[in-house]
Amino acid sequence: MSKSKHAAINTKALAMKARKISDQDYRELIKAKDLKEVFQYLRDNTYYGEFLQGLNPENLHRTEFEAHLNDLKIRETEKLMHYLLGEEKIFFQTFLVHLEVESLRILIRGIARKDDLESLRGLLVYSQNNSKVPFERLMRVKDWEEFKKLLVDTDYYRILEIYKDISAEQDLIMVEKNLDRYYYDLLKNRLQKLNKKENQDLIDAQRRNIDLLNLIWIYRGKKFYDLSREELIAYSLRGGLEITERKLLDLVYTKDLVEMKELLKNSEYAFLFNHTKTIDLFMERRRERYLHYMYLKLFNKADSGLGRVVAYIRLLDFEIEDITSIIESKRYRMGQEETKNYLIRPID
Amino acid sequence: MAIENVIMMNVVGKINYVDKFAKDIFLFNDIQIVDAMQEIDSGRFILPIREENIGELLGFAQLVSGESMMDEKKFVKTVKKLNELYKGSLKLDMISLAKGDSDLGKALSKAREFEGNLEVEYGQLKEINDRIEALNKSRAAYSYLDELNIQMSELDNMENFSYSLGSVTRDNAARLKSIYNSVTSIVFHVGNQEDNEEVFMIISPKDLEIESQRILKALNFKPIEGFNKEYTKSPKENLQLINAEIITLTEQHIDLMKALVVHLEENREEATDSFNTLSLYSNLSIIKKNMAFSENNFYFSGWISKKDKSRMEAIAAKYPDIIVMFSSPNERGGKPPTKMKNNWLFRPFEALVKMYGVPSYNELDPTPFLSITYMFCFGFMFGDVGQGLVLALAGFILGKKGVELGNVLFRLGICSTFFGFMYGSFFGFEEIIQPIWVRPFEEVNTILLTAVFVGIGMLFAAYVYSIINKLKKKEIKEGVFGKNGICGFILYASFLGLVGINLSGFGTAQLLNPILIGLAILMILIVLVREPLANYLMKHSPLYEESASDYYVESGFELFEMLLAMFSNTLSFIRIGAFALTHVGLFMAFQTLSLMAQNGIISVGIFIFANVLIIVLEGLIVSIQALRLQFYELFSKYYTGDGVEFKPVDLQINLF
Repeated sequence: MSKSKHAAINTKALAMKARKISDQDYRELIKAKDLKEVFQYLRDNTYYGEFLQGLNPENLHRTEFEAHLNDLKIRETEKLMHYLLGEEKIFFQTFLVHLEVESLRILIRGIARKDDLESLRGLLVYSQNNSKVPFERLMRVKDWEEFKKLLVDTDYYRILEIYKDISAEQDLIMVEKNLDRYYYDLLKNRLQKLNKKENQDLIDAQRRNIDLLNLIWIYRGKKFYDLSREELIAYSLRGGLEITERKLLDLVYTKDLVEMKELLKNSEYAFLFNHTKTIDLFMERRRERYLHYMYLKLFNKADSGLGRVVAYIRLLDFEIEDITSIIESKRYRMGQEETKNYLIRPID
Repeated sequence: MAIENVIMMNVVGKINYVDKFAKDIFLFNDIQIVDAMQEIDSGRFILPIREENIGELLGFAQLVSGESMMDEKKFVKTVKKLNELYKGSLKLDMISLAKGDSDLGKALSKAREFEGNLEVEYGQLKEINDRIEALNKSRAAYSYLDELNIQMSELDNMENFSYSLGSVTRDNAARLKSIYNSVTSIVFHVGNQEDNEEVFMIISPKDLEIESQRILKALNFKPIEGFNKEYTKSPKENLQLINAEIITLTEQHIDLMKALVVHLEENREEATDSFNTLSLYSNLSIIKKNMAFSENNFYFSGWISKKDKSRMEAIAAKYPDIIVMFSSPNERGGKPPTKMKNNWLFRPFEALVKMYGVPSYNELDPTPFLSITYMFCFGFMFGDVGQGLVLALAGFILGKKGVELGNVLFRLGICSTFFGFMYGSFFGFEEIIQPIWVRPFEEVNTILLTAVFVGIGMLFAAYVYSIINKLKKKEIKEGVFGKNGICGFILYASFLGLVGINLSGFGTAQLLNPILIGLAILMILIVLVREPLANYLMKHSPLYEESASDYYVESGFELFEMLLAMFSNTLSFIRIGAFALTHVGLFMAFQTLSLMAQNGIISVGIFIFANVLIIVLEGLIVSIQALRLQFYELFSKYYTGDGVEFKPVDLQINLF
C-alpha cells in the first residue's frame, strides 16, 4: 500500500529525469565558444528550450538568462506538487520558499546598495501561485521601512522588523544569514513531520546537508568574520545528523582552524578540508558534489517515500547551477578543463 | 428589435457652465461616457468648420485631458467618512439633487464644519483608544513577571546591570539555550507567546551590554514594549493599577460613544445634505475626467440612445454657445456599445446571454428567443406543480435580495408549475391531480418525439436568426451559401422532408423523393464552393483566399462536420424528453424505497428527502442541460456575442 502511494509521482519523476541533460550535453556546453553558443545549444537541443524562447541571443543578459532557467524549476516543482497532499505537499512547497528567500535576498541587497529595484525584476524567480510575498509592490518601494511594511503578512516581517537600517554591510550579511536560517529551520520542521519510516534516507540526506552547511559556516565565520562564539552558534543550523549540538559547540570552541580540522580528520566530512590550497575555492562545490552523489543514490533507490522526487528536484538544482557555472566560465574565458573543476556533476 | 440604436453625442461648451452641464449629464444617467481626449485624438470628434466655431476649433490645439486636472479623491474621502459615521445609512437622493442648486463650496465648508465638530470628540476617542492600547501592552509585559516578588523600581535603578524582556522563535530559543553557559548575561525563560515565540528575561552587566546585544540580535531577539519607569511597585501591584485604569477608560469610551451617536443623530439632516452634494461632486469630477479642456471650452463625448436625442437637445438648449453634434455609428466607424432592451418577462435572461457574450451592435438580441425556449425546456424537463412553486418562491426571494439569477429562477419555477399541471404531478405524486396533457411515463414515445419536434422548431428559428444576423453584417458567403445560411437551412429542411415522407409512408408524397434528393445534393455542392461562388458574385478577386486545394480539403471536412452536426444537433433535443422521464423515474425510485420502509415516519422522511434532492440536484442538472442546448446547439449557429456592453453613468461610476 505505502509503496503504491507514491507510484504515480515516482513514475512522473522518472519520466522527467529521462529528459534531463546528459553528460554529452555538458561536454557540448563546455566546448561552446561564448554565451551565445551556450544559449543556442540549450535552446535548440535541451528541454530548457521553451523557457528561453523569449530571449534574444544577440542581446543576452547573463543573469536574466539564469533566471529563465530557474523558471523551469518552478514549473516542475509545481507540477510534482499536484501529486501530493497534506504535509507532503507542504514539505515540497519548501523548495519554492527557497526561491522566494533568494529573490528577497536580491531585493534587500538592492535596497542596501540603493539600486533601482525595478531593474532587478529579471533576476527574481518565484512561484506566483505559491508566494504570499507581494514582489510586484516590493519593487516599487522607496525605502527599507516601506519594504518591511509590505511584508507584514508574511513570516519575513518577524525576521526583518528588528533591523532599523540595513545599509551597513555587517547588518546586510546578518539579515541574509537570518533568512537562510529561517529557510533551513522551516525545512527542518517540515522534514520532521514526514513519515519517518518511509523517508529515512531522504531525512538523512537533508540532515547531512545541514551538517555540511554548519561546517562551512563555522569555518568561514572563524576565518573571515569577526564573530563571537555565541554568534556563530546563533547562526548555525539545527537538525544535523553527525554534527550534533555537542559537536557543534566543540567545533565553535576550537582555538583555531587547525584545531578544527584536526577534530574533523576522521569524520565523514573530512573531504571538505583535507586539501592544501583549494579549500576555500572549492568548498561549496565539494559540498554539492557530495550531495549530488547522495541524491543520485536516493533517486535510483526509489523508496516508498518522497526520496526520489526530492532527489529529482535537488538534482535539477545542481544542473541549473552547473549551467550557470558554465555561463560564468565563458565570461572569465576559462579553459575547458578548468571549467570542469567548477561543476558539481563530475565530467571527464 | 431588442437592441436599441445608440448614437454618439459630441459637445463643446463654455467652461463657465461645465459643472452645471456635468450635473445634468449625471442626472440624465442613461449615457455612456467616452474619453473625449481619445475621441479627439482619433479624429472622430469633428467640428464643422465655420466662423462662429473658430474659438472652439482653435481650442483643439491646446487641449488638456480632464484626467490630469480632476481629483475627486478628497470628496470621496469625506463621503466615505460620512458613510462610515452613519454606518451606511445615508442614501444618495437623486430627486433632491435634481431640484436643489447645490453649491460645492457651501457643501464642503459645511462638511468641514461638521467634521470639525466631530474632531473634538473623535480626538478624545482616539486618545483613549491609544492609551488603552498602551496599557494593554504594559499589561502583557508585566504579566510575564507577575510571579516576581520585587519592586520594579529596584530593577529599573540597578547600577551595574540592565534588564530587558523579549521574544525569540522556538528554534532560536533552542539556540539560546545551548549557549546559556557561555553567554555573558543571565537568561530566564519567563513564558510563551501565542505565536510560537518564547519570552526571555535577560539581565546583563552594563559593561558587557554591547556584546550581549549583538548576541541577542543574532538570535532575532525582539524586545517587548510596555515597561515604564512610572510603575515602580511589584509587577502584581502594577498589574492591578493598569487594570483599574483600563476599566475607567473603557467606561469613558462608552460614554463618549453614546454622546457621539446623539450628536450624529442631531446632525443627520445636514450630514445628508453634505453627503448628497459631495457624492454628486465626486461623480461630476469623474465625468469631467473624461472631458477635454481648452482655455475657454470643454469637450465632451458619450453614447446615448437614439430616442433620447430630443431630450438631450432640450437639456443643451439651456446653455448659451453650446455646440451639440450627433453621429450614428455608421458614419463614425468603430464599435458602438450595445444597449439591450427587453420587457419585464425577458430582462432577467439578459444575464444568461451576457454569460456567453454581449450581442454585437448589428446583431439580433437573442434574449427573447432564449427566454422563451429556455423556460419551455426547463418546464418540460422539470414539470411539477409543487416543486415548481418552491423554485418560484426561492427565486422570488433571491430576486428581492438583488440576485439577478433569482429572477430567472422565479420564471423557471412558474414554467415548471405550468408543466406540472400538464403532467399532473404534485411534489412527485401523480395521484393528486389529473394531467391536462399526458403522464410522461405512460407515453414515453409521445414525450421523446415531442422533444425532437420542439428541437427541430428551435433549430429552424436558429437558422432564421443566423440568416438575418449574417445578412445584416453583409456576409453573403456565410449568410446565403453557408452551412448556417439559407443553403444550410434548405438542406436541413429537405433532409427532414425526406425522413418525414419515408417514415410516415404517404404513398403519393414519395414522388417528391427525387426532387428533395436533388435539392439536397445541389445545396451540398453550393456549400462546398461557397467562397469562390460568393467572391465571383460580389466581383471580388481572388476567388480563393488561400490556395484552392487547401480550401477544398478544409471545406470538405467542414461539409462532413455539418452533416454530422445536423444529425446530432437534432437528436440532442431528445434529452428534453429524457429528462422529463428521469424526473418521474427518480421520484418513483424513492416511492419504492418508502414502500419498503413500511414505517410512516421514515416514509415521510424519504419523501421529503426525495423532494429536496430532486429540487436541488435535478433542478441544477436540468437548468445546466437547458443552457447547454442554448449555448452549444443554438448559439453556435447564429450568435457571435462579441459586442461591448452599454454602461450608463451610474454603472460606470461607483463610489464605494
